[in-house]
Amino acid sequence: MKYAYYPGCSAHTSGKEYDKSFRLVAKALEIELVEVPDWTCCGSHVTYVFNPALAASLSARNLALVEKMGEGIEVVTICSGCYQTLKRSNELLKHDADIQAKVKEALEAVNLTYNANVKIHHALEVLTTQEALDTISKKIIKPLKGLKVAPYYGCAVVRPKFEDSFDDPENPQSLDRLLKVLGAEPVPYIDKVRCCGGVLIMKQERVGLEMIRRLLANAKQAGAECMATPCPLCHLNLDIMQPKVEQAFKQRFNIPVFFFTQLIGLALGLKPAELGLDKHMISPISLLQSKGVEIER
Amino acid sequence: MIEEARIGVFVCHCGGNISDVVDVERVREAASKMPGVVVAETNQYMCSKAGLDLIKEVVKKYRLNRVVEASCTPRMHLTTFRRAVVEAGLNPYLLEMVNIREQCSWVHTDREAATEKAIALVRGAVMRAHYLEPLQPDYKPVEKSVMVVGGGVSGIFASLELANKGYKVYLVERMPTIGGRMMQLSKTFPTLDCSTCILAPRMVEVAQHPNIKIITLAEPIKVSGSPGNYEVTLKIKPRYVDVSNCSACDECAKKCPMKKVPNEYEAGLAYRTAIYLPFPQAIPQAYVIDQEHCLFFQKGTCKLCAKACGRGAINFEEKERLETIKVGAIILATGIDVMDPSPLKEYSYGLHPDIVTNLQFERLLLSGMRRPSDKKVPKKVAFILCVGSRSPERGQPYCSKICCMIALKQAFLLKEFHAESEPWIFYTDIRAAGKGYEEFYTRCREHGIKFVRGRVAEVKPNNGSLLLRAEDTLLGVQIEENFDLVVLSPALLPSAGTKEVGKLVGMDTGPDGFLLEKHYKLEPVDGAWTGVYAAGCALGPKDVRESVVEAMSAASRASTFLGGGRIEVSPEKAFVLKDLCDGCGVCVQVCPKNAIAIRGGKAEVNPVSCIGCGICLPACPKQALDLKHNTEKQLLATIYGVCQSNLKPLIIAFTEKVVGYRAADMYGLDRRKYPPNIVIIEVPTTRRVGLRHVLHAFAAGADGVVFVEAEDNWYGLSKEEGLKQFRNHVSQIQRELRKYGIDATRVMAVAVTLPQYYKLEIFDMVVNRVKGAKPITDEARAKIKEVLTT
Amino acid sequence: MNSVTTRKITPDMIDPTFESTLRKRLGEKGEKIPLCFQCGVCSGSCPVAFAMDYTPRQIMELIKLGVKDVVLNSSTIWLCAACYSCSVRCPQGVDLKQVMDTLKEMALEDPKYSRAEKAFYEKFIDVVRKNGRINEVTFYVKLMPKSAVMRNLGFGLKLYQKGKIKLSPTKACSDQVAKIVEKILAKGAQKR
Repeated sequence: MKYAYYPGCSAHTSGKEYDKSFRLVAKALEIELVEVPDWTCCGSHVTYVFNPALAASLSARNLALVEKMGEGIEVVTICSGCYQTLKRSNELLKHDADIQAKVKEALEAVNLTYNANVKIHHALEVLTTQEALDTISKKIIKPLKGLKVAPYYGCAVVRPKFEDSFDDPENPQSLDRLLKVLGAEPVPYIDKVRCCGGVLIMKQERVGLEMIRRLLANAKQAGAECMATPCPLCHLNLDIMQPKVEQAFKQRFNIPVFFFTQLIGLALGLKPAELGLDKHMISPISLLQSKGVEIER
Repeated sequence: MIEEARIGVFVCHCGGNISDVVDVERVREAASKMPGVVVAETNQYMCSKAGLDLIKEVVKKYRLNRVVEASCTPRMHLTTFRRAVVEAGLNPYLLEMVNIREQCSWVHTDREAATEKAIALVRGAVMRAHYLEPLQPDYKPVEKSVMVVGGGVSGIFASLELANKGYKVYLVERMPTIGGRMMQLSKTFPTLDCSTCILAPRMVEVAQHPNIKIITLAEPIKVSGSPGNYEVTLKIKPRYVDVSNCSACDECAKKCPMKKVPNEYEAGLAYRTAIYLPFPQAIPQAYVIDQEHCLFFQKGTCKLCAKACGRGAINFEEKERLETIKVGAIILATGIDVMDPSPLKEYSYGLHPDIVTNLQFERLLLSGMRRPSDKKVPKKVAFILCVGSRSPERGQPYCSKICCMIALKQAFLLKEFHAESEPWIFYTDIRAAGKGYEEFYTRCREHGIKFVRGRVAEVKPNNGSLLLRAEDTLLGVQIEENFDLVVLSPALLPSAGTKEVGKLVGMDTGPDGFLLEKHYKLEPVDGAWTGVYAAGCALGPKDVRESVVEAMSAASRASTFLGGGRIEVSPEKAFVLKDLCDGCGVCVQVCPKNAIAIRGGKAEVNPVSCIGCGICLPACPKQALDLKHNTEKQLLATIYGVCQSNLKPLIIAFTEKVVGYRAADMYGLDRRKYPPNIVIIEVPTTRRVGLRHVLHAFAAGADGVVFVEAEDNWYGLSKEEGLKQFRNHVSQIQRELRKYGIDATRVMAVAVTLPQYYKLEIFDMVVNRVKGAKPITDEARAKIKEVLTT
Repeated sequence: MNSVTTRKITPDMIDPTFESTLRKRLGEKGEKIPLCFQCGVCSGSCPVAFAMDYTPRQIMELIKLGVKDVVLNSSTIWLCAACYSCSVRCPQGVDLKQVMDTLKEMALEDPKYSRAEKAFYEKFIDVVRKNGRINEVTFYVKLMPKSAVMRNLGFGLKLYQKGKIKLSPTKACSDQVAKIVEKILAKGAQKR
């Protein structure tokens, strides 16, 4: 399978290890990723609030480039925010005549056209099809030894409902299924689709920290030893901000947060450093060792 | 046409109401000279004893064989005058009434013109009288039996009412026992009677009643025949147990190895065996084998039950069979289902045993009131209302009516059971509108039940507890609370197969999926077909009391229908002129009541189903259909009679008899005015009037035609469809008329409701329009006449 | 609990055109607004409602009453994390998330309501326009007051050590992006 790969802006910064681990896992599963040349920001939901036509144009620029990459080629992205934004843009471009006109004009200014035909996938979607799960289970060499993981989907990967949404908005199961295949134990997590606050951590830090605190507390209560997520912004909130949460509320969590691709990588025998596990604020290494998950250093 | 017509014309002064505007004497004078008229009389009040005696006297004295009465609207005194005529020895259908008050003296001011119009109307009636025929209502014997479909509380009470009145009742139930939902309930609100205790004795009554035959494991699959004489084919599934032989000793079930079959009666909370008794009070009191879970039927082995049975009551050879019954009436009492809340994933139904439906909670109340997971006593219990109800986007748009009361009752009973328990009810609105309901709500608050106003957002299993999140909207704060047990109130749905069984008897379902009654307010338990009724939750969610009320009501309706042992069929029905019919079947298509069928190559009208609307008449390409008491000859005679008038221009208003005619009367009651150039001819529906009749009108001398139709048709089409067909009908006539040089503007149409009778002010516009147009030449009229006569 | 809550609504606070203006901007989705019957599922689902001065449901009620200033001055519309929990569950099909977005739009158009929030959106677009992509650090430094940046220097250093911070952002096709931004913004704010 070949996909056009749209990493999203966080792939070079806060989501670096996500990008890395995804590329490695894709390679191991013989999924070809061709990065969209000169891709730019999709707009994100921030631009959507400010100016929907602008957001749609920014998305459309990238999708126009994808169209150029080949007939019928489909896009995969690791960022849930980009996934949601690109899909929203596609919908708007299909149904809103006003947006269609504005976007057309904007793209013409940079010599591009877009026909709203590109299919958009999320990395979680692509790596949890029955075919992918079968391939993964055949290639597992280091199962995760019952590691108790809270499957944290976040909101953007399952909402809003599109016609071709790949999982349920209330009780999705794709990540749960994947974790079982990897030999881990997905715990029943009440907040698996509850929003982490997203950019609120920047706009209203205190509110953002409280939202993250709850997610961590509920994960702990559910018996989770760690969390896995498909969204780089959720990871930023849950991992990078975890020390701040602990400090602000004088509570200790010490819950490592994985990008789900990192867990696949581990099970497939890839090295922790390759997967960027040393880049986390809350290190998962001692947890993995204590569980007996074989990791080479 | 009668050979020797001896017509008497009676013109009423109506104490000045008529005579103040219409010169009654002149009308009498003119009438006396009309063909066939032997005598013409007037009276101050024709409807008074003196007036009626006059009629009777004159009929006898002059040996009259036809009577024309010119006075007020027939809607007032048709019955009065018919009675007089009958007492004088004539058939009531030989009387013709002329409306010269509401539709003449009250709506016109010009004495000369009004009198001309009155004379024209009387002439029309006199010409029609020549073609009147004596008619008798038809009587058809009916089956004095009723089929009741559904053996729940509604079916049981309908059956008992009818059986006690002497009717034979077939109580058809598709489960192995009667009893329905009530047998699953603990106590009924607001009186808290034990549900099974109050119903079980009635079930026994039904079983022992000589007039009731219970047929279980049965469903109707075909209904044919006509009202009063329905033929129903039942499909009866095999029980594999002989009911008369089974003593319900339970030896078979004890030996049955299939012990984990989900028990429907227990709403899935417990198990049963493959051979089982549905519940202790089951009627018939006999076991039944569930073929799908029986080892013998699935794998060909076992048969331990047969070995254990001391009475040889088990018969694996029993086959499904068809049985036909003949009944006079049918009552549908097919009941209700509880929606499966699984698709509403935010409530996590199915993910934890302690999240149950209110129906399942009833079973818990009856089995010790413990939580399903660990059989511990539940302390904090959440009752969640509106799970799938009042949710156009995510469930049903309607309110399921009884869940509020069910939740109140259940919370109340929980506290009775476990005094330390803490029931919380999360509601959107508390609907407690019935008798004693609000008082019960008060009792619940006194009892310490907690209420939170806010629809619950989510329920999630949380470490042995159930986490619930909602907004307390009265405070505007979020609530997050852990509960031991969560009870969902799912939307109530019509039971599976309601639409199909309704279709069998012409009963549609509404947008909510429940059966549609004939009229929401005035015929709430009648189906569209005569002799078909419905009761209980089949018509919409309701409690036991309302179900019983509807059951008794439906029984009463069926009894009224079948009571005389025969049904009177009005003679004013369509009939086929067999010699002219070629069996093309167009009439079958257009009849809104499916009352026409082709038999032996010719059309045949079922006089019981026919409603006399007349739609089939102009549709027939061979003019092979006619309508009793509104025959072609009668209608044409009226048209030609009315058109021999000095009124210029003359516009005929073909007016539908139920709403249109009444609206015209109301116009008169209101003393509104329109020009006397408008002459109203009553027809069953305007669809009865076709191009041919309109052409005759123009040939006879009319200058314009108006169609006055009811906006809400009474012949069974939806309002939109009825109006659409009406408009098409008129447009088609307008198009055809152009070929004869008659401009379409001479034909107008209006649809009215009674409150909108003022729409008839269109009459003014029509008259002005026709007055302003170039008059139709005599040549044009002659040409039309030529076409009509060839 | 709510801290700043209006306890009285007087006639001068009501703008009778507010609801219809909002509905028009929402197009087809606007037709659902009068269907809201205040059940509270939205507020019950909202992960941020705990911090809002008015719950999402209360905002709907205020919209229907036409209390424009209270709505556009509320913290609610800015705290909305756009997670769609409300929209997915509303029994009447109100897309409340879109309502919140549109209220944000309307607030951003009128300096009376925009407060500090406007900077967030403008600076975001600014960074995207200049660099073609968003860079978290660049954005953070641009947006936050110097005191906050200083406070977080230590934290920032840790992240830098882990390689999570790119001090100089990658410039990718920023000229094309800049052209697009110019073209669209030249048409003025999105008025529907």
